[in-house]
Amino acid sequence: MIEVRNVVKSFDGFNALDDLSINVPTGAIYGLVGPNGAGKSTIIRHITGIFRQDKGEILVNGEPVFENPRIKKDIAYIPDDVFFFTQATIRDMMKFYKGVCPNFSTERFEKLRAAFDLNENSKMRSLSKGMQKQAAFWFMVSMCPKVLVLDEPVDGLDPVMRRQVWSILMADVAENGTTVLVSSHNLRELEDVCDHVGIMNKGKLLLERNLSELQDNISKVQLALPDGKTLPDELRVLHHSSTGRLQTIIVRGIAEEITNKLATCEPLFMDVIPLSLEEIFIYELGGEHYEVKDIIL
Amino acid sequence: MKSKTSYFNRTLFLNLLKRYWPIFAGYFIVWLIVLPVSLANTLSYNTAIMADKFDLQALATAGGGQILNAGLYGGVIMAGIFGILTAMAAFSYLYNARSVSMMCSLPIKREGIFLSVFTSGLLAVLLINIVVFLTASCVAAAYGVLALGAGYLLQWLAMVCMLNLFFFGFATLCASFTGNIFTLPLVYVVLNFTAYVVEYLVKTVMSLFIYGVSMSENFVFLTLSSPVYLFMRTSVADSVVPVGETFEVVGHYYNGWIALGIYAAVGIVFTLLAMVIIKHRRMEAAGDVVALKPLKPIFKYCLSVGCALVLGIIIFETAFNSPTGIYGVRGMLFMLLFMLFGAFVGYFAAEMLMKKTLRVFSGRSWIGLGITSLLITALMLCGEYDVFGIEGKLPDADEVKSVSIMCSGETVVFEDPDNIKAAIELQSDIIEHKFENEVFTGNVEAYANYVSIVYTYENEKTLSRDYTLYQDANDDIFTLNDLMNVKEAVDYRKELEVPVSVDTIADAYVSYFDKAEMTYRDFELSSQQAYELYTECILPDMSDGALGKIWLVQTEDYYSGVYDCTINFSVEKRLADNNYKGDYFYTTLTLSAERTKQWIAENLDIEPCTMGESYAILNSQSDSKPYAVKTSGQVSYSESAAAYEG
Repeated sequence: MIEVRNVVKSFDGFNALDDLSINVPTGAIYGLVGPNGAGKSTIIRHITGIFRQDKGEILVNGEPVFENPRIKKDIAYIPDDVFFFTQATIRDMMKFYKGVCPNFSTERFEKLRAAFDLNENSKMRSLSKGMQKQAAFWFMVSMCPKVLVLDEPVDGLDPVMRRQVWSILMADVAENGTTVLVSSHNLRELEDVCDHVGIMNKGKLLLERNLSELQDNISKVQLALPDGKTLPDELRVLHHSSTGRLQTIIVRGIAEEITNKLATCEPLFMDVIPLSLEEIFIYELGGEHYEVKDIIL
Repeated sequence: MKSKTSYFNRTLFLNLLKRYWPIFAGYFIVWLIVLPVSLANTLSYNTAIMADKFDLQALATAGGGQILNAGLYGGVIMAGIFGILTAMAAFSYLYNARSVSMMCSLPIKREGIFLSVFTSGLLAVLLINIVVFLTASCVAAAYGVLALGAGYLLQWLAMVCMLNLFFFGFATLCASFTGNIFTLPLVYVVLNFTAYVVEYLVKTVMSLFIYGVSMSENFVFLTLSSPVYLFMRTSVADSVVPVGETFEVVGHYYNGWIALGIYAAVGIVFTLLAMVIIKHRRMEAAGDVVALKPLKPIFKYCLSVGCALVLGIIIFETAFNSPTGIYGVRGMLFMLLFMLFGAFVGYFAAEMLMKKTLRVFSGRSWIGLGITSLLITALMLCGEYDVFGIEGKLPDADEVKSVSIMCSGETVVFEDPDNIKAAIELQSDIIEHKFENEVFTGNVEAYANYVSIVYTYENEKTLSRDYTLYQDANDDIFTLNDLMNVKEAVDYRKELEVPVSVDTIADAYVSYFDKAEMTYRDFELSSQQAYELYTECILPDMSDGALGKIWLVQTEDYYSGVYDCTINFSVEKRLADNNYKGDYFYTTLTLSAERTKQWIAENLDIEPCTMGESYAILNSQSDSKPYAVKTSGQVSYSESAAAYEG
């Protein structure tokens, strides 16, 4: 379990994390999303014990993570931009991780060999970005982590390898109850794998929900109302657009309650469409003045 | 329960050696050349030249000097260079956001990473030192001097290991507070020499505007510049035993063990300090010039003041490098202007480096520059108007053990209380005549003498002052001339480092102006002749006060009472380690030195002419102006020459 409690971090007077609190339940796959500069990578570097917070508390399995090797040995971290010793080969790096991480499993490393199309004698510097990412997955999963922290993990991977990587992660979670915190801008992919989602903006957490709850709590409705009829005032409309008589509204609330309220207007046509994570992200941040702007060039 | 990998990790320890082995290989190869190979060459050479009279002790002494010198000079240079290279390799992970992320996410405490990589770097060089020591021991054994040379080699090992401790510790400390791999070596080099350079620059500025301040004054903060201190204040000295009237070198020893021990201890303290800093370092500072927040203002103000000194002096010296009449308040104001410009450059350069932008000229930044500028201005004004009493400082005669006066290449050390008082009175007169002397600044026509006075107090501290005296300004130069010719001064000049004997005189000749040929000639003397001339004529004449004087100003007495004839010889002695020690004697013949004059006339058949006569002859050869022109108050050369021509 990862608990981030009221964490504050500033860089030269700029608050990168502003009283941030996150809770990642044990065994969850938690998707951390947010616009560029929201503070996702910063909080990840705190959770992995690289940075020290100015205020607040970061606990992994109930213990502070900073300078705590006992906890850090159970955490594996794949950054957006992975680092390896340039002259080292994959085998050298494997030996390195084996030497510094007590949980490293050579057996697991050997088992995973088939999943990654990599030559162990290749120098790290000769590998492409995607191949380096593959290698990073290979090493990190071999460390048998209880907590896996991923920052843009599949960035640079081809579609086949993306599926391969997610498949390995899902299997690990299913078999070992690994907790996964993943930050990504690929919301369609996150939607497929995450069971929890947190949306960050400007160093704060806007919302944190179970993904199904999140999707249940916001609805997209297409309807056509008779002349003279308007939408009920009690609806919490996040977004409203219309094309001729057909109106599209994004409404916060449970779908059944919304349709009941709309039914009072005797719509000529009404259809409730499930919202994707990407749409939820866009409409939630729209309320935070982060929306797609119509720019005329 | 503590993790096994908390404070030391074998993989990290070996990783540094594996990745950066060329650094250690380079260290090993250079030492192999500097010590065992070079030692073999020295021992081989000395064995060859001692073929007829082989002396094991002398051979060991010759090798010993080389070993200790390699330990001092080679040790400082090697430990200095490889200290920073090893630190750059060991702590390279601190300077890149990606490597910081990788290393700091490992399940090892920061001090664990630190200790693993530090011990790796340090143990590698210490192990190489031992291998070099053993190789050199084999070389010594091959020449049969292992028993006598082992002590020197052990001293070398101790010296080099202590130097490694200091320099690697210092480089590690620099690594702990810098955030950029390119800044690290720069900071390391600058800090190694900062104290010396800053003190030198401050002295330079002071010597330009505080009357009499000497550049030869001892450095107070030299210990803070370890390489300079070790080179200038410690050395490999000779162990000597008395043999008759002289001494025999029987060995060598290093006289800086205490300093070296202190530096090694400081190196350990630096290492611990670096570990604490890295433990608390904000890792997001990777890439910053200064990684520690409290050090940022220090860096900014130090760079500002440093640039004020460096640029101030450079611009001043460049602008006024040709003789000018700039002195006093005017000079100070120019210097101040240039220093304020330097402070501006340094201040905003620091801001740009730290903020990584050229847009640093915001309102608040100017406040800091204003404070720096005010401080510099205040200090300059205080210096010019002698608020600190530096200019007018005179020592208490009772506290002075000796005073050394250097002028026109002649140095005399006075220990007689009366002469010490006379020197203090002379300095007092010079200070009183400050403005009379300063108005001649930049006047190339004026006849000037540069005099340096160094007082040594009973407690061994020193006070140095330098002045330029102008013959036309006042009588100070004449007072100085008299002081440089008192009996104690003459006696000082006849004392040589090597006793004068037929065996020690290496080269002797009399240089004189040949009237007939109208040119200068040298007459070579044999050792026997030189010894006889020195002991039977020169020394008695010097005792009578007829010989051994010097002339800082050319008065009428000089032209009429001094011959254009000098007696010169050098003495040297070969030491046990095959090195030579030597000294040089020369004196100008005077009309009153009867014995010497007679010996030269009888033995060399030389009839010297006076200074006045030779000048007259030389000037008559030239259609242009005479060689020397004397101004008011003195007899002009042309007048005096004319008198002698008659």
